[in-house]
Amino acid sequence: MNTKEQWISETLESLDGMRRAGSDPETYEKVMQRIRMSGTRRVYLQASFVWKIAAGLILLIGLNVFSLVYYSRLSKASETQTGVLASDYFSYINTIKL
Amino acid sequence: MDEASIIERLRNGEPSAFHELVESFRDRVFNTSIGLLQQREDAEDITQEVFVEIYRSVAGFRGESKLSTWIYRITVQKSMEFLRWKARKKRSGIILQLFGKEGKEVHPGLVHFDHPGTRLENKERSAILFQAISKLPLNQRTAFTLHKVEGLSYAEISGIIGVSLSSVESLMFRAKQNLQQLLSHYYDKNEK
Repeated sequence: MNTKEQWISETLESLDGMRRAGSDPETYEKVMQRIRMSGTRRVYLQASFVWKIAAGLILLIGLNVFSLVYYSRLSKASETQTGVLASDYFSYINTIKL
Repeated sequence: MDEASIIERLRNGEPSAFHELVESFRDRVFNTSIGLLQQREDAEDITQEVFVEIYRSVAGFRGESKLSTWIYRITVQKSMEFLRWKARKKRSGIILQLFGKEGKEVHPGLVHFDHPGTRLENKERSAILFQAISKLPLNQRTAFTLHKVEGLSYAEISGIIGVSLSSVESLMFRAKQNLQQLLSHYYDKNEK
């Protein structure tokens, strides 16, 4: 085995016989404090989830804009139709009066 | 610790049972998360998150796996979520840098990690190895860390990460191959 191979093999074995890292002795107290303050929990969101929410919002806004434009056109058209109907009606009334 | 009785006591909401559980598992949870995250503060934070999650979801634990397997599974999930979140933060940091905003502060870069449990004579080499481990794909990194840092068997790892025994063997094989390559590059650059 040459020096490089030996170095790699020894480095790979450098974790053998290691001890477990000791945690904070106050873990329990800190956990209970977090449970009491449950409103401040940190949440890690998946990127795909965030994109889905963004796409949903864009779709919702798009639908709103579309319906706004569509209904305003529709109401304009119906206003014009009502105007024509009213003028026809009054001109007819005037004809009867005469 | 009798698993069945502690689960029953936890479901009944006995505070002493939860205290016992934390005391029995806190080192295992911390050692796993510090191995995966390679940052003491992050590992402490995740350890606390894991126990908060256990406290909230113990009623739904159906006992289909061992209690320790369930706890390790939550630890790995939380650590992976954290690593993905950190990677996203790093990417957004790069974008901010590209647009001339203060992206540098977002990610401090790779930090030299010294695991507190390694033998004194292995400190230097294990730091190099941990640096190489951090470059592995997440599934290989998880399997390798659980086996080498936490000392779990392949069977236990397969229960934790939810894959077959042969898949764990394959993950370990690929992890070792990748580490050999990474260490070889490191040797060519620094040790020659």
